[in-house]
Amino acid sequence: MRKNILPCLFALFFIAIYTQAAAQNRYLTKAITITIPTVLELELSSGASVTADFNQSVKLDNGLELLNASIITYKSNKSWFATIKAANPYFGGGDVSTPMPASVIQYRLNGSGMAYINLSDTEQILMGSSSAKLDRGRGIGSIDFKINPGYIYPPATDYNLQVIYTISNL
Amino acid sequence: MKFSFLLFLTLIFSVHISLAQVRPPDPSPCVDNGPNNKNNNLTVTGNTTFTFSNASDFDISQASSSITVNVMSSNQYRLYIAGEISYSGTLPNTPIPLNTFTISASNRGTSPVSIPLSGSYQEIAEANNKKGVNHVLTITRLPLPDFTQAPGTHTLTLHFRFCQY
Repeated sequence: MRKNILPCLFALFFIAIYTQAAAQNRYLTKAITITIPTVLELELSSGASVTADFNQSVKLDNGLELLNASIITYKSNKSWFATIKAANPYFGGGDVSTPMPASVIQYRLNGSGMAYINLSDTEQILMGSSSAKLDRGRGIGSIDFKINPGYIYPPATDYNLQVIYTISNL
Repeated sequence: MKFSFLLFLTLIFSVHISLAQVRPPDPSPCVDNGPNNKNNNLTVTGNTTFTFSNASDFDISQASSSITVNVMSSNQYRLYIAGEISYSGTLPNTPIPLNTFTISASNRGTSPVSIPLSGSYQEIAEANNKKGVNHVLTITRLPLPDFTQAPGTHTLTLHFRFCQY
């Protein structure tokens, strides 16, 4: 007898579900999907081309400090960090027999209390780090440069170096 | 024994369904004149999704008018809408604020032109003793410029309720 009741209950349950699905309603729901892709974006909002003119000997004596030389804007909806590096270990231009290394440029994040760090062709921390990522969001970062070639390198007007900024979540 | 097990599984499934949606309290006044039947019925048709093709899309609005609510009512009625946002991806996440979405309806009568969505029912249309009225909804997603929502799939559940008065 018990074996007969259980299948009937089971069938009645599904009949009830079907009836409910077909019933008229005064209340309904509708689901809408919002798909948010991963965003990790850096943009140079100013200072894409920074110029340093050593037109006075005092500038070669002390070096040039360029405050807020480049400003980057970031957008990230994952935890993130940003790095900086030179595209090459040495400047282009000048006298190839005495190449000027990227390290004559020092950088720091303005307002962060960070000490100046020599630029190189390996990635170095700029904002956050891989072990201390920053919270998602958007904002700006302002970068100061200090350029101090001294009297080691021959005069030229075509020294140039590309600086690469990278944002990452890895 | 086998059927008992199936019944048990079915009960678990039905509990899961009931937990998936939290029905907001009915608006006031809310009268249900007559039984739920073909003269007192609500249907919702159409689908929509919101996507972001590139980062600049977060700074602009996006609108969709592909959802239609049909109300069959034996008496004058008001149509109400409420929202609920959920996310099933990797935490942490900041939920999309419900007022990121504004709703307007065609054949709205004296109802507001547009309302920011909230968790409580708000009136979006009113009709005086009409039958078979279609209300085309325009759902606008406002900008989400702060990038505080985690990437992944977020679900906005719209709750519709019509009441006679």
